[in-house]
Amino acid sequence: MTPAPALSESAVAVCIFLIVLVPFAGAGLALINTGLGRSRSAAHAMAASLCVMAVAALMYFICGFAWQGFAGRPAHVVTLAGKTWNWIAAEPLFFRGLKLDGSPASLAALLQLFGVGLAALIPLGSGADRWRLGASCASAALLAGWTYPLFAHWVWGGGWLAQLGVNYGLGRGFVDAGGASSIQALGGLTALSITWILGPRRGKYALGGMLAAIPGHNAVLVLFGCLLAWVGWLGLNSAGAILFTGAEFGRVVLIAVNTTLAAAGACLAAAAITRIRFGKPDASLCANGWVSGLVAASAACAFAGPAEALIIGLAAGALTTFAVELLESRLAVDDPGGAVSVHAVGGLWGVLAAGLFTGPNAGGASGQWLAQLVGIATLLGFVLPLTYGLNWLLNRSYPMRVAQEGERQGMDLHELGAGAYPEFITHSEDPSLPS
Amino acid sequence: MRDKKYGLDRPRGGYYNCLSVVCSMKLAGFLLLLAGWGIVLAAVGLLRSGPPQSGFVLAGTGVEVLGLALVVRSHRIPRPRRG
Repeated sequence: MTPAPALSESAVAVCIFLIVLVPFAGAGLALINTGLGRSRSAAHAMAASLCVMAVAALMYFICGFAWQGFAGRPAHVVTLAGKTWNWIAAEPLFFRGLKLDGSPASLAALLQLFGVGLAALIPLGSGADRWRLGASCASAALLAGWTYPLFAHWVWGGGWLAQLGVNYGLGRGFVDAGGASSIQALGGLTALSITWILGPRRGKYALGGMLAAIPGHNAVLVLFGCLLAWVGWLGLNSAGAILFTGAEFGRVVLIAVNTTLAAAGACLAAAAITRIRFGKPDASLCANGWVSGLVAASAACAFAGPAEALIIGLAAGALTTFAVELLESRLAVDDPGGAVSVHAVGGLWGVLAAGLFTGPNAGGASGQWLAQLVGIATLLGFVLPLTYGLNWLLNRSYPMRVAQEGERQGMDLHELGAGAYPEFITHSEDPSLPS
Repeated sequence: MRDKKYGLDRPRGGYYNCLSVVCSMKLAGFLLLLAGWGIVLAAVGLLRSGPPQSGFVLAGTGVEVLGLALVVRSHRIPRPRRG
């Protein structure tokens, strides 16, 4: 990928405007995670979102950027068979050596500060109702301090994945404008690890072999979160494309159109599939579909045409709808927020689609799909074992799952001492009653 | 017999006797994931662009899919039996 050239003052202003839209994506994901969880864990979910984003930003400031870096800046390089493999950045800790003056590197650091928070938020959806606050913060620290910077360096920091085109003639190298791999798939695979380590919620698979439906407590929060996420994704995809793929400013229009069309297609696909299968469209799956469209569009948004973006979105919506059911009912993965289906499956599809649907702007079809496949193989073969291993070790030293009593009582009362809706205690949530 | 972690009624024996098998499956799955990635890296680094390179990258990804299937299977919670 080409690093962005020095930007004019107006270009810097536009870029900053796009970057400050990104926290809306975080707000949207936080609302979605909260709405899809139980009412007795709602305050905990929002508090965890804030804490996790705070920890992620802090860790990224301390050491994340030092290992992620930016294209053209110092890095550790290994030479194999006459080709350079750029493995990890060699920046000083604490943003030292980085002038926060509107240079492309400083804008990229700002975008990453928000992006790493977004990646850290994703696993919260899968660990809802049973993941302790302290453990989720510790896991976020691992993600923001190690997993994310390392992979993001390979994709966005001039690392070996980005150089596959220059070194080995694979299209334009691994292409991901808006973070379908480095933010979404990485967060989704971490969510899968967390789900496996935590296990399902109590009572989820207990009714005589039938799985129990535990619906989200507030569909309005979930759907409003989708609208906020849309705004955030417009900024994320546009700023990412400008800073990491060298897209011209005029492309922001195409990126916005592609992002919106993919989300629309995914939402409508999810609505149509659930309408056909269950008789009525399912609100939570429509929401999941919408976000999966945003996720899938991220990789190819700067290169694909609008029709291709719509196809990417339609496929993402269908994939997510079936993945939610497959994971929950066949693979016993209890993922209340649908984080694995939306972010891991949607992200991996988006990365592959960038190879299949990108035209001459991405360096032509020759070898591009192979570069994307190498990126997917890296996510599955390196990132998943790494994130699982780190969280497994964390769980051994600091148990992640809340005690039985806490799960029965609700995370709000157990961990925070007060509920999100104190005046609406229902019979089933009354802690004084037997479960 | 009641499992403390998940609150499931489990058939006596089954799950707990298979713990070592489950761990082995999990370990084998993760090793396959890493091995598949190694094949992909080797294909990119050692082979020239062309069908052999594409074939080895696809094969490496296939090995990863096998590894993922093993890991997924090792994490499946055994369902309590009806009746």
